[in-house]
Amino acid sequence: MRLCAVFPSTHQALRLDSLLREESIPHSLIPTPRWISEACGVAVAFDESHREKAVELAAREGVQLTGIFPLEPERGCSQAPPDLPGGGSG
Amino acid sequence: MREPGAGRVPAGQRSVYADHAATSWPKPAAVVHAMVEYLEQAGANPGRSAHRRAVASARAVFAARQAVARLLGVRDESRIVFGPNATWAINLALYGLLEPGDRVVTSAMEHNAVARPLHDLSRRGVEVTRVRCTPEGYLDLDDLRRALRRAARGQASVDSPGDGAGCSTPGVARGVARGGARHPMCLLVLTHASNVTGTILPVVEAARLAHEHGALILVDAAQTAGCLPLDVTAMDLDLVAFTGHKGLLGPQGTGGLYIRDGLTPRPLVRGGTGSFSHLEEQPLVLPDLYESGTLNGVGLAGLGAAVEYVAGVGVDRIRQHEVELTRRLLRGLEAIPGVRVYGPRQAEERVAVVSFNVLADGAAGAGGAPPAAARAVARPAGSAGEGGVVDPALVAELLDSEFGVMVRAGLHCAPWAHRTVGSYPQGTVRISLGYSNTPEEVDYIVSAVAAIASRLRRARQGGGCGECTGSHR
Repeated sequence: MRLCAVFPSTHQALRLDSLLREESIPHSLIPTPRWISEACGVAVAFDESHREKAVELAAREGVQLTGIFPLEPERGCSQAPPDLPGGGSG
Repeated sequence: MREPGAGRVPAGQRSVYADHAATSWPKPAAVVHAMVEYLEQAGANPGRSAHRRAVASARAVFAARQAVARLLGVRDESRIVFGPNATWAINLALYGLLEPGDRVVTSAMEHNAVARPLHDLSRRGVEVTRVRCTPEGYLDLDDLRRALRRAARGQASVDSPGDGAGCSTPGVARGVARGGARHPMCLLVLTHASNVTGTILPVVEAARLAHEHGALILVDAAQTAGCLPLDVTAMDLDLVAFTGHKGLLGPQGTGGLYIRDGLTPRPLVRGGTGSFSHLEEQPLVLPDLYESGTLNGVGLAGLGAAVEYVAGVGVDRIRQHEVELTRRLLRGLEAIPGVRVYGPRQAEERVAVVSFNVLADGAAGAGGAPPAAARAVARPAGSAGEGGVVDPALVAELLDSEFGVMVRAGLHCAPWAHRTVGSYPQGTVRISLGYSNTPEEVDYIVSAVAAIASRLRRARQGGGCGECTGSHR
């Protein structure tokens, strides 16, 4: 199963991205699923087998993590809060 | 890094770029490469989308932030906020922190990037004290201590006495996060080195004095980042404004502000950040709080490569090279009859910036402040009459048109510094060197100045300018 780490800011996402790249841990930057968070538009996705290492790196380097969520296959289905007009970030 | 024949110097004519204090040139090849690569391989909006080009763009900006943070000794790189230049950064710090009743202490060597915002803020109720400096541009620490003491007591300005309340303790969150009643803030604003004389100001001692008096310190590092070792943590600095296109060897349109943890200036600009898009309030997270609107991604990609280049060479090595060049330049200029050099005599006490003037009469050289030069400062620019100096603009023009030597003449956006050293209002000719300059180029510059000085002074004594092939003024 793929997991999705979300952050309070893009900068924090990029910090974990940088650490995972240094450790050659496969991952990707993805648009944050709307049902998970609206704080930051960029999230870091990786296989659950890398969860422990990612959490360890984040803790060691003080990366601010909002949380780690499972990436559901049906996440494209809209669960956006009703008060949002939709549209892009920023 | 060399590209001879560029600019408007005719093919075949020699050229020497000596205007690094305005903008360094040439840039390392890695900078050009990184910018081309960014435009071709990335080129999307950093921090907005998450597709592959946006990710590549965001990574380039992140790498630049990391590189700058490492070079400046900043542990948390989110405390480095990017903007277009050092002027923006200084404005963010000043307008973001200061309110009516607050007190600022600054020096008489500041650039207009500091002086103009402070002039405006002084009209809005901020009390500003300008500490005088010596004619070489030195700041006396006892004078600074007295000014800080007066500011802390609420006697910052004789024109607008304060309410007598003491200054607040640094390190307390200010601006956005502040609530309730507040003590007046005291802020010391200092250039790290003068862009006119190159004089290095004692910012470490100044920071200690500021903190002893409950003040914060903002350092304008426009002339020093990449040229002098700068560790903001070890030096205990609160705010540091830097530009990317001078000593850091990056492209224009890049710069930023280091903001110490615990300080939260109000942002100058609010808008889209790519984060918290559902909120009407500006997000408080850094660097988003201060980086609304699309960043200069291509510029920052270049800056990242530039800072890596500087770090690879080593600031110590760059400094050593520039001191050697400056020593050679000072020695050469001081030996030219009728040339007055401003600022410290010792190269170690400057960055690689040297201002001079060609005296229109007498043989007063660099030693001290001759009466002729003292009189010269009262003369209107270009008069070059008896006791005056030759219009610096003419000297600069001849240096460029006849010798291919590119320098800057005038007031260098720093009228206060020129008042301090005695070159107001006509200004000076400023030679500023960089890592790419060579000792042989310095010798060439000196020989060009000597030739021009000799000719102009001969012409002046002869009552005309029959030999001058440049513009006649």
